[in-house]
Order: sequence, then C-alpha cells, then structure tokens
Amino acid sequence: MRRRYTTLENQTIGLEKLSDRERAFLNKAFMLYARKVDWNEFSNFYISEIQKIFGPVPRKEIVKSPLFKVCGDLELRLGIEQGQTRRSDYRDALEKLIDSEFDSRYQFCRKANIPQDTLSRILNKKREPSIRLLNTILGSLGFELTFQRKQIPGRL
Amino acid sequence: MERWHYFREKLFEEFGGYTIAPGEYLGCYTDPDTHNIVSDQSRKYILALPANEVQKLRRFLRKEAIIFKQKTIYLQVGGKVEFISFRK
Repeated sequence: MRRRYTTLENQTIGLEKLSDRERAFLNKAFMLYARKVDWNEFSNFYISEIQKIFGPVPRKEIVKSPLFKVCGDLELRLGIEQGQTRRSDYRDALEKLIDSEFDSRYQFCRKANIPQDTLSRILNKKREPSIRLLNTILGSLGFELTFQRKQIPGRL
Repeated sequence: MERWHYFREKLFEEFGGYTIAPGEYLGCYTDPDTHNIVSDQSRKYILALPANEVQKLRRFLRKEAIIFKQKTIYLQVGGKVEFISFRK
C-alpha cells in the first residue's frame, strides 16, 4: 500500500495513518480504478461504502478525510479518461471572471466589443480564440496574458 | 475543481449519499424563452430523503441550476415531476 497519494491538482495526501479497514477499502478503490470501471459505478461504490466506514462521523468531516479525497480524485480521473468530464482550463477561469465582474454576458460583450456568439463559442469549447482576441477579452476585464510554469498532474 | 466532481461532493455532504443511474440521457426540449429546440445530455441522480428534506433539495438544485447554467432542473419526487428554476 502506498504511503502517499498525489491528486490531479498536485495535492499530496498522506496514507500512513489509515486503519486496516480503511486500507482495505482504499485497496478495493484502487483495484476498481485499475479495472477502469464506469465512473458512475465507481462513484456509487465509494459513496455507499465510505459511510459504513465512518459511521456517525459528520459528513462535513468525511469529505475532508484522506479516503474521500483519494476516492474523489480517482473518480475524477475515470471521468476524464472516459470523456465524461474534463479538467478545468482557462475557459473556466475566464467564465468565472466575467460572471463576477458583469451582471450579464451581454454587458461584457458590449464593453469588450465582441459578438455574444463569439464569447459563447469560446466558453463552450467550440472555438479557440486567437491570442489577439484573448488579449482583447482579458483587457476588458483588466487582466493580461502571462506565463507560469506548468504543473504536472499527480501520477498514480 | 471540476463542476460535476464538486456537485457530487456537495450532494454527499448535504444529503448523505446518492445513486447515479447508469449512462446518460439524450433528449431535446423547446426553450420557453427562445422557442428553439435544444438538445442536451442529462444525468440522473437518485436520492433517498425524508420528506422534510425535499425543500432543502429544491433550494440546493436552484443554486446548482445557476452553477450549471441551466434554466430549469428536472426533479421527480414520489412520482410527481417538478421543474426547478433558478428564477423562483
């Protein structure tokens, strides 16, 4: 059994203090992941089993536990691998920025002077914006493009 | 964190569990505002709740409708269909 686990978001989770029961549960979870079961099947498995392990522990505490975090990450990996979901990217950050700064997309598009349809296609992953267009969009929000070192997702 | 992932975590935290029906549901509907036919994929979650938590579920879904940018969310309680709208 591994001593630590690194999530897709590069969070390291220590597994040294798990009880035998928790280890057995996690081993089963890793086994299901290795078999590439359907992500919904995996989710149903760990959600139903984890409550049995924690018993009366408040759910707010359970979701912070190493077991829950590892299983959630395995579920996310399966979802991505099976094309059911995707990792967050710059579009999610852009959408969040626009929604926090403007009452409506319409208002933002008027300020940025871009067609609403263009923004919609970008946010819905149907169009990749040019650097120039992205700079225009970001400039309207008071932001600019910058570089940062790439984070490599945690490996299993 | 990815939206679906976060949704599942919150669903567990708030209601203590769920079951996901296998697969996706592909369908279409007429948008009441634009009158356009919209095709969409849906996922079905099954929750076992006491009656006094249904109102909490409605509030929860109303917030999720905003996060998922859905005008309405289909909810079926005891065989009765409801459309949860973020506008209400």
